[in-house]
Amino acid sequence: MKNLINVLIAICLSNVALAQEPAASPLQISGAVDTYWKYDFNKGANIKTYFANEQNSISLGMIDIALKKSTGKASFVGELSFGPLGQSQSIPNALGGYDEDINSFHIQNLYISYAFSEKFNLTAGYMGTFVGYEVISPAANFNYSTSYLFGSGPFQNAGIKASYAFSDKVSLMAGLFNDWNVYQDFNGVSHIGGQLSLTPAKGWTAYLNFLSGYSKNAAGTGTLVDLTTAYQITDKFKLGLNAADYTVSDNNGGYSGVAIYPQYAFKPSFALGLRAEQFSIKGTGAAANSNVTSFTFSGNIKSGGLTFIPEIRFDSDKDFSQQFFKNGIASKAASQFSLSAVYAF
Amino acid sequence: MKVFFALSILFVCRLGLFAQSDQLPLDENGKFTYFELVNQPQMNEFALKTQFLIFLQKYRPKLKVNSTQADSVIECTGKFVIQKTILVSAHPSGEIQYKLQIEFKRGKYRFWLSNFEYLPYQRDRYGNFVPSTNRGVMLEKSPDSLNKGAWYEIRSLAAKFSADFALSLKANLSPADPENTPKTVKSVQKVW
Repeated sequence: MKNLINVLIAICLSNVALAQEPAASPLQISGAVDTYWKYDFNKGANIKTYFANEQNSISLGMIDIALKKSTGKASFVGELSFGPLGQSQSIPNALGGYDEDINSFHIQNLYISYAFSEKFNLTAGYMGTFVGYEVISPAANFNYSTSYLFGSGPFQNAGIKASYAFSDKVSLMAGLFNDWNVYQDFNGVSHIGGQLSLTPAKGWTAYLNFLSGYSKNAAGTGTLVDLTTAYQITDKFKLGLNAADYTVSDNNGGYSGVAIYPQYAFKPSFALGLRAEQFSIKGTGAAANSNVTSFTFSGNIKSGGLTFIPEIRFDSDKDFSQQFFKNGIASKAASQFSLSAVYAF
Repeated sequence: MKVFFALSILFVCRLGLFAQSDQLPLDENGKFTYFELVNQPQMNEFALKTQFLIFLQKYRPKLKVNSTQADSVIECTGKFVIQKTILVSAHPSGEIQYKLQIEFKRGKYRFWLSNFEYLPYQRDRYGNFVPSTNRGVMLEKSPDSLNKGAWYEIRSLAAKFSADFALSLKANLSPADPENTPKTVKSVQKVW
């Protein structure tokens, strides 16, 4: 009997099929899992950007599961994640904190959308941020480790937003949002945001993003302006760019930076990419800015849903803002090598 | 236990065995093309074109007119989405874009689908599946070894779609279109 059950399970698991789109919209279940190993050449957890942060350990990223269903003009998306990357490292737990000890399930997306027409759409809930080039899920990033721009910006925005597509090439989004990365806003809905999406040419997309507001207990009003663009110049070569500036009012700091992402696909299953980033932390008051430079070389080797990402990264921190160390002594540089496997289903 | 392992190996092998035979034919330029010439002696050029424009309305926005030439040649671009099914759920895994050209003459018309391009999908930051690139890969391109099976299956889907599309097109361009003809209803008698 056990053998029969095992055989039936094997039949079901082997039934992954491709087919034309059905007439009705079924419930979509998708997700991703990832794992990695990282080695810091200074033998410590130096580079403190999000993800790939555990030294010399075969470590877990996360598993995330997304549900989506469309019925007529209405749709919903619910996405949960589990594991270090999807819990304490990226998004708040049920209590709204980032506590390693009391993490529970974590929400990446939980929203409802209604398409009033082909051009106009309204969405409300808790959503992945519209700002920035990189995202939380490694299945959607070329590099496994993340940029300083990503780590400094918002991860999620709860709010309500309206989108209008003027044409295939131009669309506009505007909305009201809670504070960054929280389920509940304790000082009232206090952020406004917008996004202008452009398709200047075939293969080229550009997003100009704006987000401004006063967060609870913040030193001032923070305003973020961000440009994210990617151009598939040829079948093999793609160039991405992310530039952002965040300023807190009354000279209370912020950050700015620019990162470029050239990528070359030698064939559909193999590509190499570089992320070159210049990041600046704005000094508060009379304090000077501090600057960090980072170069990350990544490979993407794909087979079906699996992507294997070997990566090497070099960071330079002449102002000692990142607290790199080597043999217990502060260091201006850090470098790491990592291997990661990401499976999207 | 031995039976389980043996059968499991067979099912895993099945995943790798994708038929190359269900593919579109190649034209003289080495491009996948689906072509048909249909005789419709009861219909003139105007009637055929009118029926086609009605058919286009049903397919919007997945099929759009690009250009018309001399009122008897219409070029369209279209796309269909490929679903990846796992157990009881499915989600988009990619789309195939194509070009349709149709020409009308008195009593006949011909059409062909060509320029098939595949765009893989990827889940975006909002949990939606969208094209991961703006530039498609022509289906004529040879697959690399790591993705050969999936590529042949995509070609097979393009062939199946073309055949299904042709059936639907011909049904809509026939003199008595079953989809547009109202069904007669038997009158309900008072005394029965």
